[in-house]
Amino acid sequence: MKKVLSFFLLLMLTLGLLAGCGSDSPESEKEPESTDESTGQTEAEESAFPLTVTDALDHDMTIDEKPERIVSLIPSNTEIAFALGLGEEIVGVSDHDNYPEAVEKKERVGGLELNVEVILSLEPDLVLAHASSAHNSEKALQQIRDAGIDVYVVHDAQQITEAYESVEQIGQVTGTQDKAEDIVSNMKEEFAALREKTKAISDDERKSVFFEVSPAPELFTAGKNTFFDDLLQVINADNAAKEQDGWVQMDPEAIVQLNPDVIITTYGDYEDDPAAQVLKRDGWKDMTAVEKEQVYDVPSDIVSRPGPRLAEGAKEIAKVVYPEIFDE
Amino acid sequence: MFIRKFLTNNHLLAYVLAFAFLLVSMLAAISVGSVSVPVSDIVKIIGAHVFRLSIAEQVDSMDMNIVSQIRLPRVLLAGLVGASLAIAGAAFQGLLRNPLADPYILGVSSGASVGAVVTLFFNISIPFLGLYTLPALSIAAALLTILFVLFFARRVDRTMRVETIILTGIVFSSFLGAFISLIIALTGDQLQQIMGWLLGSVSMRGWSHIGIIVPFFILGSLLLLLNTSELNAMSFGEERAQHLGVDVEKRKLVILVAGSILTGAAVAVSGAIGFVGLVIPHLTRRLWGPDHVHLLPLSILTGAGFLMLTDLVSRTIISPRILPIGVITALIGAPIFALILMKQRKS
Repeated sequence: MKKVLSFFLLLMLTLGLLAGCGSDSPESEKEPESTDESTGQTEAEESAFPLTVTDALDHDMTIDEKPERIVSLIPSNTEIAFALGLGEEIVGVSDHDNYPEAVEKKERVGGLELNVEVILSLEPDLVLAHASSAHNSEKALQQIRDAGIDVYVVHDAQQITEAYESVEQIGQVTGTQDKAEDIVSNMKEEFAALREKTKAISDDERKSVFFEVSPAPELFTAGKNTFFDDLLQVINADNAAKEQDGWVQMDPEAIVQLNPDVIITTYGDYEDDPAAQVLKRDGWKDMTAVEKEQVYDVPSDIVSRPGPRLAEGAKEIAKVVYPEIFDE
Repeated sequence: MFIRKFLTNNHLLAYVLAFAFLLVSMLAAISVGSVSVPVSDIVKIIGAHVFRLSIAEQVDSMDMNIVSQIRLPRVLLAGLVGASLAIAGAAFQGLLRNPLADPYILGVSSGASVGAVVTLFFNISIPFLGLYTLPALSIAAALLTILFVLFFARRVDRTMRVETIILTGIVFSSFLGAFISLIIALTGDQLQQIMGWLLGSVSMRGWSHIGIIVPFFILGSLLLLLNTSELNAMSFGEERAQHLGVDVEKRKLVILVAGSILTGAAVAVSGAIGFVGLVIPHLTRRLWGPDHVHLLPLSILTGAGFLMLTDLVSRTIISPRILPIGVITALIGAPIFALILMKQRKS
């Protein structure tokens, strides 16, 4: 029982790992350089190597040629890599990976604890780590580096713009920069479309949304500086917990007082019928969201992973928050 | 003459102070929070409930809801859990003649925790029990654990000496603790729920959980309060107690089972909240003496008030965020205890 506190730390790390929400993200906000799409892609990619890069933890490395065997240590990296068309090159993924379906056939290399032996046995030429969990597994990563394998730590995105950078970073080190640009501009278009659609919502119609990322009795929510907050801004809605910073456990009394218009849970993948649970909570019945039964579950993966599916996540949120605009 | 008698009557004063502490803690805990309710309003609300008067015009309905549906049940639950752990601790310390004994020493809490953690991990839901699945399985696991501990202790040593019981308890505790660690290592999505549960909390249990703990609290406390003089006798050693005419083996069994029921029920509704069961009985003993006839009821009052106060701190100190209550019990309790210990040594 005394180890509980150290486990609590682990818990925080998992939250960070699952949601990609640690704290040390570089502040750089550089705009992607536009690339000429008419030039032969393969040649452009081939010529990009050897490539000297610095990762999110300031490790310098030179990647000699386009990686052909890649291990991804976090679901968001995997999703990005698959979107970049690297499904064949990916040889190992983390225990938490569940998208796309093809990951089921890939070797698992561990979750919180990396299984270095498995990783080395896969003989990768590139390991894609993530800043949110890298300090936790620094020793394991160093062992991999010592074995002569490039370990690239992708920065820990907290905002949509930073998620673009994650896509670009992975595109750069895997020699799929053009594809990365495509994905990013696609995402930008989708977000712009959402902004456009919700732009007309007046301040009176603007709804406040409370995110519940863990079930009762420990109600964790997402304050500012999280994807949830960012996605709400895109669709012109308010985060009910915007006074808070990051991921916090909220007093249920205080949530009742915030009186959000909509409650969105993100734990429907492991709890039965979260909406029903929220609706029948003691003392919550006078809240607008409960009274009008505006309680919905959105899959956490598409709203918390900094990857190509974020726009999809924003759309899911928009559908339940402003059904009158998005139901066609 | 009367006043002098009053002042020398140590125990009356003890009860008055303990009651006052409980009352003040309770009023403060109900009054303070994200919505502040003046004490006068609380009296009005309670009065209205008791005398069936209408109070609608005085108190805002949302505030009223927050207080009666969210805060009041958590305050009462904190009180019941604190009381259960404190009296169980007082009884175990007396019975086992060990100042380090607490309600968790026999592995009962680990047993209850395993029950709860397994429920969370496998997402078990028993059709008839629904939300009560967790407390039900957790109490069942607690009772099963104490039965196993007693069975093994008896197999090792027929007379079930105190040392044997403690040792068996520790062995079981470690084993079950390892089992919990194993589940934590294997879990993915439920990790946060399991951790939150292990750290202990009285948040969002509602009135239903009060209904769960009350019968066990009454049963366990009654059993212990009926055995206070036997506890006194046994604190001189089991042989002395035997000479004093106490049926040691039978009483020991009753006290162990009663303490386990209290602990199991408390852990089942609130998770493993440490420290209360260890320190409150010590504190009470230091203040008012080791006579179990008074120690047990006074521990109930003090334990209840203490946990209400710590819960108050846990939900107000960085409001609207919440801290785990187990962290606060230790942070507040340990320094207070150290202070009292030092004062006692000086005088």
